Amino acid sequence: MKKTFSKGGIHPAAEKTASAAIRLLPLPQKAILPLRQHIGAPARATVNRGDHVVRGQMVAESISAISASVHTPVSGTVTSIENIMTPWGTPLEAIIVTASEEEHEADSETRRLEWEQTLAAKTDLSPAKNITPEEILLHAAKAGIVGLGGATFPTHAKLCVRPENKIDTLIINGCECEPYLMCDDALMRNCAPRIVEGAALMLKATGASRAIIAVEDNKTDAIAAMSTAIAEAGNAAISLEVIRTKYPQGGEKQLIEACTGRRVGSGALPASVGVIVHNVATAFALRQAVTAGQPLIERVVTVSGDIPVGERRNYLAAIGTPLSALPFTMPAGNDIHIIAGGPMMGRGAVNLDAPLTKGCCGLTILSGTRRRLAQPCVRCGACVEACPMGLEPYLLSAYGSRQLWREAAVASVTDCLECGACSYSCPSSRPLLDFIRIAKQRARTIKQD
Amino acid sequence: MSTSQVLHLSPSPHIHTHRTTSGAMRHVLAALLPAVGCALYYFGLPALLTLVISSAAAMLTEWAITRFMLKRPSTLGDCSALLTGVLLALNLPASLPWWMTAAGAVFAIAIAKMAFGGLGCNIFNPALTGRVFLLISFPAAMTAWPLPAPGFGDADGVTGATLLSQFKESATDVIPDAASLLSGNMGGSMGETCAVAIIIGFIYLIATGTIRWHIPAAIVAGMALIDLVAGFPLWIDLLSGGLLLGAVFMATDYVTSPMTRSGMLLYGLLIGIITASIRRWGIYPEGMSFAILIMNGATPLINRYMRPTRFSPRRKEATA
Amino acid sequence: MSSMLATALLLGLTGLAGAFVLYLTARRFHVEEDPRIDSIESLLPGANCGACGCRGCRDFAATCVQRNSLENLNCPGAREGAMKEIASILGVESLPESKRLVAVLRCAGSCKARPIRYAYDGASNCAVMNAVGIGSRGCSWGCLGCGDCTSACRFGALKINSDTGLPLVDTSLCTGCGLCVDECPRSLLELRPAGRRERRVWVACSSRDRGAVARRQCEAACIGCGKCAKECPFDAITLAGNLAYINPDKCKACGKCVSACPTGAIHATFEIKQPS
Repeated sequence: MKKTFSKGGIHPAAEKTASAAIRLLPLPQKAILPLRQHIGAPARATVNRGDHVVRGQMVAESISAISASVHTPVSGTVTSIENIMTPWGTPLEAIIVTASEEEHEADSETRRLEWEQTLAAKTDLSPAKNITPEEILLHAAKAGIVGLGGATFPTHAKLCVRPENKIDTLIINGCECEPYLMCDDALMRNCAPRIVEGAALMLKATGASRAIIAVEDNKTDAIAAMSTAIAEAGNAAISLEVIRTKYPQGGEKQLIEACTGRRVGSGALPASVGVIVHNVATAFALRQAVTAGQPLIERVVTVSGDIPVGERRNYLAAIGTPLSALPFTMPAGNDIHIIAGGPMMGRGAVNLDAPLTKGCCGLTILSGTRRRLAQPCVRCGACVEACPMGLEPYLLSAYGSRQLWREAAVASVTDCLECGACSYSCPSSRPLLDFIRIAKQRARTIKQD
Repeated sequence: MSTSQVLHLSPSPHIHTHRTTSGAMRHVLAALLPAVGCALYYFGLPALLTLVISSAAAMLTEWAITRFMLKRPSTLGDCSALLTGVLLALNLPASLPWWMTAAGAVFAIAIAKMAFGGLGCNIFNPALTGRVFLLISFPAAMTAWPLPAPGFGDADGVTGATLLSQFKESATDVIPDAASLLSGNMGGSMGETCAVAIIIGFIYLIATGTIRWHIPAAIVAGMALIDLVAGFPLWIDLLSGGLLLGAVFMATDYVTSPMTRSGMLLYGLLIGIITASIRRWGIYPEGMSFAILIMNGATPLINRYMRPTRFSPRRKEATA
Repeated sequence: MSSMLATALLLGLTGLAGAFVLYLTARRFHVEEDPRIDSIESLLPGANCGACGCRGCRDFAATCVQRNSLENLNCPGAREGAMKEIASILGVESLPESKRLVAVLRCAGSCKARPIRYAYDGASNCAVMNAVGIGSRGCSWGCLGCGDCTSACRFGALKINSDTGLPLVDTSLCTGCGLCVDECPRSLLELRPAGRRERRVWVACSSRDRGAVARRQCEAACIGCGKCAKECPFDAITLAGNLAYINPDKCKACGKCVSACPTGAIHATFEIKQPS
C-alpha cells in the first residue's frame, strides 16, 4: 500500500502529456529581471543604467535575511530600471538588460555546452566532499536560489537550521501534483545525477541523517532515472520513495505526513518536526551554484494545456525571458485561459510581455468556460471531504464573504494551503477559495493584534 | 487571438469537477425509476396520477414563488422541485385524492423549502414535511392504503392494512412471506413496498458517488439495536414500511443531513433508534418520517459539534 | 360546551398570571439608565457606522452623557441641527459645525473610457477581483465595479451606476463616515470637504503608471503632464508618481484646472465655463 497523506485530496485528470525532452529556449534579446521574485524583501539594484553586465553577474542584491539576489542570464547593457507589468497586470519594478549581438551568440554557445554536460553527467558526490555547511549556505545566498516549486522562499534561509531545531530528515519534493505541469518530471528524467548531488549538498547543509526523494507513482520514467542516479551515488542516506498520486501530494505538510507520518502543527514550520522539504529543481540549482558556480539564471518550464500535442513541451528558459517567447498556438474556442503555473494554483495571465520569474513553473493554456454560474450551497460536504487540512471550506468561505474575519481566524483559516481542492470539488460551482483567500489575508492581521 | 476570443482573468483553481448539483439530483431521479416502475406496476393509474400531480404542483409552486415573489430567474433547472414532488408521491397512498396530493406538494415546497430560503437553506426535508402535513391533516385518507393490483391494474378499490399496522394491532402470529416483502406485493405507500427496486436504486447511487453508505448503514444499525432489545425480527422491520425508501432517499438528502462521515453515522444511528422505538412502543405504526424530521432538526447541532479533525493540531499558545 | 368555557377561562387566567409575572420581573430587574441617553440616541441616525469613533450610536450617546461634554465627539451623520440639540440636552455649549465631508471617487474609468478587456469568472467582489490582478477592465489602479463600497455604506449613499459601471455618491445621503474609504481595496474613495455651495474639484484618477501606459489603459486617465498645476492660481495641485493631486484646503474651486486637463481626468461638481 503506497503511502499518501491521510486527509482529503482530489484526483483531477493528470494530463501529463508534454514531451519529456527539455528543449533550450533561446536566450532573450532583452532580459526583464524583477527585483522581487521571491518571498521577502525585494532585492536592491546594484547596477545603474548604462552599466555593462555579463551572464551570471549579480544585478540586485539581497537586503535582509529573507531576501534573494537577482542575476542576469545575458551579457549586455542595463537599459533601464523601471516598473513593468506582471503577467496579471500589476506593476513591478525590474531591471532590463539588453543583450548585445556578439555576446548573445557566445552566451548561447556556453549555455548549450553546459547543458550537454548536464545531460551526460553521472552522479558524483566527490567534488562536494570537503565543503562545509556554511559554504553551502553562502553559495546558495550568492546564487539567489529560491524555492523553485513555486513558493519561492529563499533557499539559504530555509537551509539555515536554527540550533533548537534538530533536523533528521530531508525530503526532496519530486511530486509535481499539478495537472499539466511536467517541469520537475522532465528535470528528473534528464538531470537525475545533478539532483542527487544537490540532495547530498542539502544533507550536509542541514545535518539531516537521511534524504528521501519523493516522487508520485505516475512518473515511471522519472522514478527509473532517479533510482539509477541514487544507486550511482552510493550514499546510503539518500533513498527514493514512490508515493500515491493525489492532489495536493506536493504540499509540504502533506508530503511530510506521507513520507514520515509526522504532522506539522498549525502555524508551525516543518523544521519543528525535524524535517526540511525542498523541490527537486531547487536541489538541482543548488548543485549548479556550489559545484559549477552558476547562479540561478534559468529553469525548466512546461508549456501545456489545450494546445496541439506536439506543442506541449518542456523548455530550459532563462529567467527574464518574456512569456511571449514560449511558443504555443492559441486554441480554438471563444474563451481562453492563460495560466502562469498549473491549473489548480496558478495565476491568470493576461500580459505575455511579462517576464518569466523564478517561481513560474510554466504556462497552461486552457480553452472553454471553466466555471459555471454559482448555485446555492447544498451542504453536500464535498469541500469538507476534499480539504487536505481538515478545515470546513463552506464555513470559511461564508465567513469571508460576510467579512467575519475574527470567526474565520478562530476556525483556523490561516491553515489553508489555497490548494483549490474545495472549489474544484464543489458541485454548485461556488467560489469558495475566492473568499477564503481574502479571509486568510485579514485573519493574519487579526492574529498579529 | 482572434477578435471573437475572450481572454479570461480569473482566480484559481481554473479546472473543476464535472459533478454538478443538478447532476446529483438527476442521479437520484434515475435511482428512483425502479421504485416508480414498481409503483405503477402495482398501483396502476392512480399511482401515475399521484406522481404527476405531486411533481407538477411542486414545480409550479417553486416557479410561481421564484418568479412572482422573489423576482429571480427560475430555479426549476436544478431538478430539486421535481425530485421533491416524486419523493412525496412515493410516500403517499396511491389512491389519495388529487387535491390532497397537490396540497401536500404545495406545502412541501412553499413552507418547508422556499420559506426557509430555497435550495440549500431548508432545515427539514421538504417531501417528508409535506407527507407529515398530510398525515396530520387527513389521517384517515393518509392511512387508507390500497392493496396492490399487480399488472398495472387499478388499485383504487380495495384498501387494507399494511404490515406494520397489522403488527401494531395484533402483535405476533403474522408471519409474512419474504417474497412479497421483497417484491412489494403488499399494502403500503407507493414507493415503499418494493424493496428490490429501492436496493437497486441504492446500488446505483453508491456507484455514481451520489450518496455515501454511512447513513443507511447507521440507520440499519440503530434499528438492529432497538429490535434486539424489543425482541423483534430485524429483517421484517427493514423490509416493511418506508424504511428502505427513507434510509436511501430521504435521510441521505444533502441539505438536511450532516456533512462529516462521523456526523452521518450518529445521525443515521439515532434515526434508526427513533424509528424502531416509535414502531415498537409508539402509537404510530410507522415512525420513519418523524424520526428523520426530528434528526433533521438536530443536523445543525451535529455539524457544529462533530467537525472534521484538523490536519494540523492547534498549538497551545503561550499568549492569547 | 361547559368544558370549552372552562378551558377558555383556564387559559385566559394562565395568560393573565403570566403577564403579571412578566410585569413584576420587568419592574424588579429594571436597569436605571440616564434618560438623556435615550433622548440623544433618538437624534442620531442609528446606522452604527463608527465615524464618531464610538462603538455604535448608543455608545456615542452613552459616551456623551458620561463625559457630559461634546469635546471630540461629533456625529457626522446626524441631521442638521441635531448636534445643537444634543448640546442643549446635555446643557453644554455646542461646538461649531465642522466642515462637512463627502466621499468622492478618484477614478473616471467608466465603461466608455475603460471598456471591459478580460472575462472574469470569480466571485463578484472587489477584494477578490483585486487579488487576481489587474481586474476585468484594465488599469491596475482603477475601479473594479463589483460594489464592495455600496455594501459597506450604511446610509444608502452609494450605488453602482449601470451606465458607467462606477459607484455614484449621493451627496444628500453621504455623511462622510468613511466606511467606503476603508472598504475599497484600491483606496479609490476619498473624503473631501463638500465645499462652499457644494462646489468641489478633484482629480478623478489614481493611476501611478507613466502617462503613456495610463492612457493606453483608460481614456480619462491622469497622464501626469502637470498642466493643471501650472494653471492653478492657488498653488493647490501637486504631482507625485505620475499623478496630480488637488489639496482640498487650498483649492478654491475656480475650475481652471478642469479646462486645462487634456484627458478630462479632473472632475468638478459644477459647470465649467470654457475659456473663450
